[in-house]
Amino acid sequence: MGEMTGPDDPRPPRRNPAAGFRVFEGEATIVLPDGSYIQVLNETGSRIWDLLDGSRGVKAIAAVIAEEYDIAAEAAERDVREFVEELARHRMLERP
Amino acid sequence: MRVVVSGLALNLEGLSSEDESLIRARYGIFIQDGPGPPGEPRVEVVAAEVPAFLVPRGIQEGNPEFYRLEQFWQGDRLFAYSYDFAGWYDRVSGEGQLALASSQCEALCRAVENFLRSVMAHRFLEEGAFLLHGAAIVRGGRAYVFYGPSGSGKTTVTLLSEGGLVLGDDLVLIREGESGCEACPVPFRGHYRKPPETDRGFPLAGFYRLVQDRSDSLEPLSPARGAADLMGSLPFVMEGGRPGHALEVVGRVVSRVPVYRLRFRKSPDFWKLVSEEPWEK
Repeated sequence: MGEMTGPDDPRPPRRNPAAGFRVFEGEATIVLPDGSYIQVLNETGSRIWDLLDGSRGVKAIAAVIAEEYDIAAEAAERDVREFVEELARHRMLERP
Repeated sequence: MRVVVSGLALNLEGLSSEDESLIRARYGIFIQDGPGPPGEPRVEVVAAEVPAFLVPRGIQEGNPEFYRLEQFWQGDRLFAYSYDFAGWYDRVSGEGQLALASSQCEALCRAVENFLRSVMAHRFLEEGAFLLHGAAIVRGGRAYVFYGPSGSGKTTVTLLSEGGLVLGDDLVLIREGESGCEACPVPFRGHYRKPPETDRGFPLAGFYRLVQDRSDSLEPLSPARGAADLMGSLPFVMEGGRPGHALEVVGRVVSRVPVYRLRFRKSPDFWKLVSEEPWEK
């Protein structure tokens, strides 16, 4: 497994490949490989989770969210950054 | 001695005839006589050479812990131990060993049962089924599964359900059967005295997360929230196991069976709410 990452890491964030996740009717349930963290993501969180494939940085993900959900780019970037920070804190992300 | 739960067998070898009688009396219909097919999983039971494997915490502080079981995986081998037992089970070879530190009736039954609970929880998950910390009651041919941690009211619900067939008050097996998702009894129970009267599965009506309250109410949970909530009531398999696989298995079930949060008083009235809900998705 690669090293864990955070929102300020210049490399694109990527989902921890060892984490389990499943999408149900637009909402995702995610679980850490050691079972210590289970979280339900709303529709937007699930979309961000889907975009965290290691090919885009935070700004690029925020741009997609801003367009798809019709929200201001600055607000989208702030929300995505906070969300990525939280995921990183729970070891749900890693460096590619 | 052959323990068979929902078609999954485990042979316990090396028990004295006296100990076998104790376990047979507790597990009833889940004990099958005669040898199983060659290569069937087996656990050798031996006497431990130490007085204990864990020391209870909090005794000196006057606040002893209720119970503790530790487990970990090393390759394909599951290790589980508590105060009075230590054992391992190899999921590839199907071989295992259980060392018992006490031959006293209650301690022996507890040690064998807790080791079996751990091993069977992992084995069922590999088979695409799961043990749930829950009580199951059959009414009208369908199983209503009430789940939650210790103290949430599982045994209380069984006592408030006159006329229903109680499959268990502590653990229940959830599996996908030929006719859909089913709840099946297991020999492991909590405070409920009677062993299950049947080992067959019943179609699931729904899952109900118990919350004791001053009034009754029923709140549907989305499949994602239902899955997350159920995952919190899976014994043994979340620590050191394969939670991602557990989510896959639980996810298949919650896509077909509704999950609710049930707030209830200590009254059978909650059945009015539960019975009115449609069970099909």
